[in-house]
Amino acid sequence: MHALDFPPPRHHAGAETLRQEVRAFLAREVISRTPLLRSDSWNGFDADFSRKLGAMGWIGMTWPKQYGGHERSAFERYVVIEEMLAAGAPVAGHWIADRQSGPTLLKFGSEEQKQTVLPRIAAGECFLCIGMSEPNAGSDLAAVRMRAQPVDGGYRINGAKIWTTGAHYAHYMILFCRTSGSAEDRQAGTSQFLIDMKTPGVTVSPIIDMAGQRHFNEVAFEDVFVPASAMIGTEGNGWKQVTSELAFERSGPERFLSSYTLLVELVKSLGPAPTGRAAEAVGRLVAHLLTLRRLSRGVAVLLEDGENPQLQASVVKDLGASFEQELPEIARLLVSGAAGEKSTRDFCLVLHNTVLNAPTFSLRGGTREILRGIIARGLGLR
Amino acid sequence: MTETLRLVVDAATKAFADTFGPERLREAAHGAWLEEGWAVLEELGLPLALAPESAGGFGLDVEEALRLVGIAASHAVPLPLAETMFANHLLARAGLAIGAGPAAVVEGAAESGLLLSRVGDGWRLTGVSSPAPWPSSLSAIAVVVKDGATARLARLAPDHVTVGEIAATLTGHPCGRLHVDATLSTDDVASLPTDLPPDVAQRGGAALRAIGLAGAIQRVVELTTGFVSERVQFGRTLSKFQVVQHDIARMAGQAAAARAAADLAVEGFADFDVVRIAAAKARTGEAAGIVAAIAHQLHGAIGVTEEYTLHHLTRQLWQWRDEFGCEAEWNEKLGRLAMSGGGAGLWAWLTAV
Repeated sequence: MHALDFPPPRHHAGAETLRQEVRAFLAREVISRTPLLRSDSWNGFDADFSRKLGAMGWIGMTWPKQYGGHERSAFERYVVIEEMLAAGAPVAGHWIADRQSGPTLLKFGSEEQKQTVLPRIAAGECFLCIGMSEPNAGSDLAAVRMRAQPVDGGYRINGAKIWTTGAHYAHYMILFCRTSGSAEDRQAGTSQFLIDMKTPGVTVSPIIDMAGQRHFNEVAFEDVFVPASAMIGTEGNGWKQVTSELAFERSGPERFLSSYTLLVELVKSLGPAPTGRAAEAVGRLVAHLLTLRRLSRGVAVLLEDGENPQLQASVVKDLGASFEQELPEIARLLVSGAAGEKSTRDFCLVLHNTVLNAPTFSLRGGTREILRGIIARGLGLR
Repeated sequence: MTETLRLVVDAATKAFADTFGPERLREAAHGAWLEEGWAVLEELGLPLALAPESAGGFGLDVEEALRLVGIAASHAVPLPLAETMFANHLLARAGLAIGAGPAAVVEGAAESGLLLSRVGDGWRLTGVSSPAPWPSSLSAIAVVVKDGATARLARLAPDHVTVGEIAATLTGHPCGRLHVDATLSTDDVASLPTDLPPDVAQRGGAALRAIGLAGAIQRVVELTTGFVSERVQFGRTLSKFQVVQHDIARMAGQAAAARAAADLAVEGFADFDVVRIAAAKARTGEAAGIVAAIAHQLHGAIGVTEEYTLHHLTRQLWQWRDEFGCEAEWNEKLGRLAMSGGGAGLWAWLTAV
C-alpha cells in the first residue's frame, strides 16, 4: 500500500436518487442565470438561494440533527455540492460555513457556539468567513501577528486580516490569531475565535480582483473586545485546529469544477460536428475530468470513514488547479469569434471571466507550492 | 482483497522479482525470448488468470485478475503475459479451446485485413493481421475477424501463420504482423459473443495497456523517490532540495491520476466500455510521458543504463502509450462521445461514467 492510495468510489443508492432531486431543484432555481453568472461558480452570492437550499436540507447535511444537520452521508453531500458546481448555482453565501467552519465548530466548538450558530448555518441564514491570511502571513500562516490579548472577562484583539472572502456578507468570522508569544514562536501560541462581525471595532474594506469583482476584503480589528466564550477549542491549540480545517477546505470537487461552465460553453460553441482537433482537445479535458472526479470521490470515502484526507486532497487540488488553468488556455484556441458576435457572445464572456480568475486557482486554499510540499512530506522526503 | 487474490498476488510478485532481474530484462530488450521466465509464469497459472475456473483459471473476478497486469508491468516483465491472459479470456468467452503457451489477440491489419470464408464444413482465413507481440514465440493466436455482418473469433496455431517483417519497438521486444493462410475446423471458429464489440481487440488491448502503464508509472515513482533519498550531491541528499521535492510531488500526482484512470479501465474491461477505456488509455498515456521525463531528469545519467531497471520501465512506458491507440486517437474518440449530447447534456453524461 502506498501513502497516496485513493479508495475507489463507494456506491450509495440514496445518493443517486438524491441527485435527481437536486437536478430538479436546480432546473427551477438556476434556470434564469446567464452563463456568465454561472461561471462565477462558488463565488456567486445569493442569500435567497442559500435559504432555499437550507430549506431543502442540503446545507450541513452530514451534521447531527441536534445542531440542525441531517445526518446524511459524505456521499450524499458530495452529490449535492458537485451538482451545485456543475449548474453554476450561487452558493457562495453558505459555502465556507458548510465546507469548513461548521465542521470546525462541530469538532472544537463549545456547546453554546454549536447551538447558536450551526442550526442557522444549516438553515442557510448564517454565513461565515475565515480570518487566516495577513499582510505578512500568506502561505506562511504560522507567521501571523494579529493578537488577542487576554483582558478581564475575555480578549482584546488588534490587527488586520486580508484576502478574506465574503467578509462583507458574513455574519461571523472564524479568526486564527496569536494568543501568546510572538510570530517567532510560529505554530505555538495560536488560537481560534468565533467573531460576530457586528462587534464594534471590526471594519471590512473591499479589495477588487482581476475580474472587477469584490470577493476579497481586508478586515481590520481595532480594540475589538470578545468574551472568553468566543474562543473555539483550546487556547494554544489553534494550529492543530486550523490544519484539520484546511483538509476540509482542500478536499472538495470545487478544486476542479469551478470553471466547469467554460467547458459547457466550449462544447456548445463547437457544435454537433467538431473538427478532429477540437474533439481531441475536449476529449483530453474530459479524460482529465473523469479521472479527477474519481480521485475526488475517493476523498469523499476517506471523509465518510472519518480519516484525514490531507494528502489525497492536496493531490486532487494540485491536479485540479492545473486542469482548471489549462482549460481557458485550450478553449481560447478552439473557438474563433469576437465577444460582440451573437453566436460566441456567451463563450467569450465566460472565457474572459475564467481567464481573469484563473491565476487564483493555484493560490486560494493553499498554493501549488504548499501543496507539493505537503505531498513530498507525505512521501517521506521532508 | 480476497484470500485467493492475496495468494496469487504474493506468489506473482515474488516470482517477478526473482525471475526478471536487470540481466534478464537486458536480454529481452535485445530480442531474446525468455523461455525459463515463461515457464515460471505458466507454473503459477498466470496466463489463465482471466479465464474461468472451468477453463483452468483461479476463479478470480475479472477485476481482481487484472491486478496482475499492473504488477507484472511494475516489474517490466518482458513477456506477453497480459496479451496471453486477454487471448485466453476471449477464447473462453467464445467457447473455444485454451491451451498452454503464449498467445495474443489480433485483428485484420489496417490496410489489407483478413478474410474469413466458409469452405465445406470448415473455414478458411487468409490475409495479414495487426501486429502481434513476440510473433515467433506464440502458441496460439486469437483472431477477431468480420464475416459479413457477423464478428467471429478464430483460434490459430503457429503453423497457420508466417511471421512478416518485424517492426521496430521502443522496448526492443519483437512485434510483427502475421501472414495467415489457414484452413480451420468449426472447433476453431466461433461467433464473437454479442456482448463484445467488433473492435474488442483494440479496446481490450488499450485497457490492458492502461492498467500496465499505471503499474509501471507507480514503480517509476517509487524508484525515483528511493534514488533521490539516497543520492548525495552538494553535501545533502537530492530529496532535501525543494525543486526535487516538487518534481516528485508532480510525479506522485500523475501516478495517482494514472491509477484512477486504470481503475476505469478495469471497470470497463468486462463489457469493453469504450468511454472508460478511452479515458483510461489517454490519461495513462499522458501521465507516462510526464513521469518518464521527470524520472530520467532526477536520476541523472544512471537512469539510462540498461543495467538499471528504470531504463526498461521507461522504454516500456514509451512503447505502451503508443500501442492500441495513442492519446490523440482515444481523446478524439472520447471527445466525440462526450460532445454528442451537447454542452447542456455533458454533465449528465460525465456523471453516468
